[in-house]
Amino acid sequence: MRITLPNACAVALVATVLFTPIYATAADATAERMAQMEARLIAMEARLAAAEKGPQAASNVSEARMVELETRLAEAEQETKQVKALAATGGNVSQASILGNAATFDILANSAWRNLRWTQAEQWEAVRPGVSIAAVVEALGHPPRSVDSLKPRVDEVFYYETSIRDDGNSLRGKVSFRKGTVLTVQKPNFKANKAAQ
Amino acid sequence: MKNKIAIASAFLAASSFSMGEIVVNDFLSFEGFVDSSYSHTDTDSDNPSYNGSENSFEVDQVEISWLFNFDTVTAQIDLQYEGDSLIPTGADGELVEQAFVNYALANGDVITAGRYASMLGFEAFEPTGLYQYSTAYNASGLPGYAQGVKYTRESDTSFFGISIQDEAFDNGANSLGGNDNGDGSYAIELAYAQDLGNGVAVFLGGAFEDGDALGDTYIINAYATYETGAWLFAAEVNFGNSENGSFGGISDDVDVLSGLLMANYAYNDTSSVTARVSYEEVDDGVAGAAESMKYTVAHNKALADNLALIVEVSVGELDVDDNTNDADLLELAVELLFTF
Repeated sequence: MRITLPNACAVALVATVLFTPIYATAADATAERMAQMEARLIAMEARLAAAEKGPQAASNVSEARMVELETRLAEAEQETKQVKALAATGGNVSQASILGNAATFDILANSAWRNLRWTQAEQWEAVRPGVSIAAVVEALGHPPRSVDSLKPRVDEVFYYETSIRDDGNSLRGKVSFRKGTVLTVQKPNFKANKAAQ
Repeated sequence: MKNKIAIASAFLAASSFSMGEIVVNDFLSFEGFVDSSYSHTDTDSDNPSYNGSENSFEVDQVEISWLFNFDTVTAQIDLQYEGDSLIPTGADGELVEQAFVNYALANGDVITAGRYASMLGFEAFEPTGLYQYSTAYNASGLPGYAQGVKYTRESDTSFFGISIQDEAFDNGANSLGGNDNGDGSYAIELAYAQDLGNGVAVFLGGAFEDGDALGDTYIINAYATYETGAWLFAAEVNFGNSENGSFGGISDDVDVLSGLLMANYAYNDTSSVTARVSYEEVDDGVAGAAESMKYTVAHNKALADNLALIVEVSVGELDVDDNTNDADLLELAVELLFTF
């Protein structure tokens, strides 16, 4: 077939018709999955709150059940955050086409969460002076860059940065440590970053 | 510079990994430094041939560490340029300063194999861990780098390490077990450190090197540190004996004794001052003892977390029993240190 304007238009039209439903389906699936998990989360929180209320309620709920509920709640929270992180970082790719299957999706979600959870403003709420290094890593992940500080009252500094060369689109956070605990916290400017976008 | 607890030098030797690093991926990261300085030295000696002054402006040392992490297996390779030494053939400026593999046992203990730094000594091997520009000693006899296998156990408050290596005092490098051309056959190093609480930490260690024909060499190293508020105090003493000329001298029975006292005060978030007095004595029993005292004052200013300016003044006195080579030394230095 020769490349002519009518032929090219025809190919573009066919490609649009073929691929659009796949992406749309994938995006719908992600949104539906998030909605389901959030609904489950809300339900579990309600049950947990009910279980914690009053001596009568507490007597009907065994300690094992409480632990189970708390575990499931933590898992659900983690999963929701992972999906949100993936969605916020361009994760609305097709599960059915490019990535192949749900397992790949989960791996990417975990990877994105491991590396990029510090880009979520709420993750910084747990990072305060006096908190341990382990707690910071738990909340923000391992830093892309760190340095043994040459300042006399600082042992180490964690840098959480997206790009140090792009002022308009960068996120930069910094946590300094002294004797294994947080000394100072400089949170990324999430508001300015959103405004720039 | 960095006002870290001195006992950390032993812990760092055990873990062999600094936390500061640029992460490339989950398995590889880098760290390093560039150290450059200007120095002026005046020497006034009874021996006129030693008199004079010297100026030096150069990049003293550049080091890049490759840090590998494969869960229970970690490794580190330090590539360095040191002064104007020849690379890669310079005896004191080896291109590969350290190269070792760590294997973490199930209980957290670590087995290390390769070429690594000695566990002994209060003062760090690299300028990033020093509180001044210069080191305290010229001939303390403390070991440097060696090749071997090391076992270390570390807790929050204690450290223990034992190392079997090819040499400790440069008598039998590369020949663990000995060979026909070298006198040394093996060396062993032991180290123990304990954090006593309330800012007090102590360290005791020693190294022994076997000599096949000429004789053995040993050194004992002990130091204590006390940290309170913005102050850090340290005291160290080393003594040893060599039957094979490891410590210099002209006999086969040379004693060395050295020590230091140091105080560091961080007077604000970016600056500190350090005062240090160090002493060395080498006695070979024939030509007599050579003693030296060194007084050092240094000021460290951190321009950023990874950039520091160090200014130092040192005054030294050398006293030799023959009274013909006594000397006074004055050294001024300005050092710029960049880390990454």
